[in-house]
Amino acid sequence: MTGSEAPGARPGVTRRHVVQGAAALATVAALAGLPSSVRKALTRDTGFVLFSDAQRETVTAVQDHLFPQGMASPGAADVNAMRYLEWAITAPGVDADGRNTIVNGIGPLNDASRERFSAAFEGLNIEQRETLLRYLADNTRWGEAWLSLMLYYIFEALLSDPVYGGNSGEIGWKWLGHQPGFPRPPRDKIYGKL
Amino acid sequence: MDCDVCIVGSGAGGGPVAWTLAQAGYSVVVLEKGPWWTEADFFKDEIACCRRNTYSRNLQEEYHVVEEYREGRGWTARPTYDSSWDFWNGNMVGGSSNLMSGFFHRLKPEDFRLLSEFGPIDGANIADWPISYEDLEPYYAKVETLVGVSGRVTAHPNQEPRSTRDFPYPPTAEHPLAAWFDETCEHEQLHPIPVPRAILPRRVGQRGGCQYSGYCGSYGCSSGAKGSSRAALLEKAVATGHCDIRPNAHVHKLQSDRSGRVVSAQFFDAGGKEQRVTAQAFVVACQAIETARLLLSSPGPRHPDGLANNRGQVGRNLLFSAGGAGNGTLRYDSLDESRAAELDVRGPFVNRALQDWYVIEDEELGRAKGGTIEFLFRHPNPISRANGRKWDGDRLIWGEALKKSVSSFFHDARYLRYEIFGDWLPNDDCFVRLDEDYRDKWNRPVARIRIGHHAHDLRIGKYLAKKGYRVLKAMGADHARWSVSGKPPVNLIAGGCRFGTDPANSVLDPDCRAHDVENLYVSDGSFMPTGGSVPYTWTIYANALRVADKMRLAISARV
Repeated sequence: MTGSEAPGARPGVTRRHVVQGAAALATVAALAGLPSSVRKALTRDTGFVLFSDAQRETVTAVQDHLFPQGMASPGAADVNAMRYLEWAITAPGVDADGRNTIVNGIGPLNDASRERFSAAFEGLNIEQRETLLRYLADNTRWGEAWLSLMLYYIFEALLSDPVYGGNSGEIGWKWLGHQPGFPRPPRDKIYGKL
Repeated sequence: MDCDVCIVGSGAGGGPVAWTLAQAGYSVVVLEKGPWWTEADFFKDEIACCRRNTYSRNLQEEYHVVEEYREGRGWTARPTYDSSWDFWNGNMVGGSSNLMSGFFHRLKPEDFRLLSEFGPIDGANIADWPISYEDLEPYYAKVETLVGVSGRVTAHPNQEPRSTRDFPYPPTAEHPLAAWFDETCEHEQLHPIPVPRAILPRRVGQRGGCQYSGYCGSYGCSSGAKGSSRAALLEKAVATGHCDIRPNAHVHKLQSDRSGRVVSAQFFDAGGKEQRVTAQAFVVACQAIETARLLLSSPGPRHPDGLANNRGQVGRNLLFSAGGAGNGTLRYDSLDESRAAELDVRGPFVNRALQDWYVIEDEELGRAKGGTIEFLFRHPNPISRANGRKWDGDRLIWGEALKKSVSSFFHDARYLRYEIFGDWLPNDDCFVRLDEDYRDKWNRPVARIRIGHHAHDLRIGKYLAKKGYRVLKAMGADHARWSVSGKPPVNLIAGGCRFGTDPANSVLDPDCRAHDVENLYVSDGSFMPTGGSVPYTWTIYANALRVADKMRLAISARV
């Protein structure tokens, strides 16, 4: 039951402390509603330890496209989004579905890229990248889920405390005029070390 | 005998009992499944706080099964590791009170007699409480000084009676928006309430005052200002020398003997080794869902269906908080320079609520129980705020479009919210039982929660949502909108072991002692037959102090 001044508008409101207990929230949100076969394929165990150089190149190219550097705004590279992602999906207690989803999306992305443009994603020009990602987001369930999760981790890199390796020099906070809370976490009391 | 009293759970239900009995010289052992963190471990770290399960259980290992009603499919069950539900609200010494926002409201006298005051409603198991507001009032007052409640009493139509004139601590610092809110309410002929907070505005003893960092709810408090069970009670209980807190102790069963009395609490320690504590009396305070689960998991010679469950009442009439929420946008460019600067202030609290409709007199609804509307800014967590911008309707966006949307969201406006707290009517479709299939990492059946709501809750929620919406509009908010649903907030849980005088339809007697277990008490929010229309914590604290007084009499009488 919703109401607003614009009939039909999404209410966009949530109940109270939904921010809490959100460990798997990003993954759950990304995977919610996927047909079980798609979900199974995306979350199948990868035994992931570290990205290969080729995987790293692809993921970096995707991040740069999703969150490009602007004249006065940081891009994915400025906030170490790649390094951050690698930390995030290997940190202790990490949600395995999230990690597997990230890794399992790289192959199909490059398959789609080769099929359409005869080159891996990092070899495409900006228009081609946009065309491909737009197609995958709008027409494939796995593509939408995967890109949603990639964006999520970019935001973590952009706006988490720099102690985690992203948000270099607080560049993300400065861009958005965000005032962090205090006290800030010291290196020995961050997530995974508490 | 290891101790006089063993308390399972260290949150708002367990802390007051530990404090009272330790002060009185009883030996107390508190078993808490989570770790023992202090102010020195709490930081404003969105990753640790809110994006990972630092303060609560890993859902892959410990979880719940939730039954929801789906049109055409009936009640369907899903484990919470595979859904967006998470009913762990903070597993650590002090429990979820470490992470609360501390919006503290007392119940009103009417809340203790909902049935006789407003009459029955078909399909709802409404019951009057076996005690009155007057019985609990001294304990509400005690919480104000003991836990530390800051605020200012103002006259309004639903102000409850008080034994003291005002709060012992002045209100926490207020955001300039509070004054705008008051102006609007005056114009609308409403009665804004400065919200009492379980937050100290200044240093008191070992506890520091609020640092106004702008991050409160969901975060542990680094100064000790927040009145968590740990900061306000347990640390003092330990200082008496009579209270031993054992963290990382996961109690899975209460063992009872042939006479039906509880003899020991059995738990797994940090190393996974099974241990036990024996005591004269036992107190369960694990938050409503886990309290019911522990009792149901503890059959004994005289309790074949679970402790205190010989009438099949344990787990029934689980309560949440009914209502909904609304929000609107206050744009800087719609304000003159000084107002815009005021809006931009970070740190202090809005601290405003309305209880003008705590009791509703309406043509359509008649005289009905209404609720509380709490006004606050949107939570400042930046990752969560930014991540919400990646959707344009149902379409994922990125690149410049996304960056523009994020930048605008952070720079152009602030977002005012309201939250509605209404009675969650107890009903036969809201309960806890043991799951027959799913087990946790200890190989113990998990709690299976059915979360059915009563349609009446939505009618009241809608009524209140429209009132809140009007206030937002009157304050000049754009894009105001509201929503009401039967999905419960996971952090507002009570019921499941209601107290009453008749063992046929209640689990606990008026002292919150189990009807059929002489030395077992329940002191968390489980006792509530109806929940009232405010957040629960103050009432849990107050009732637990009351229960502790009753226990003191009962135990000393036996010694």
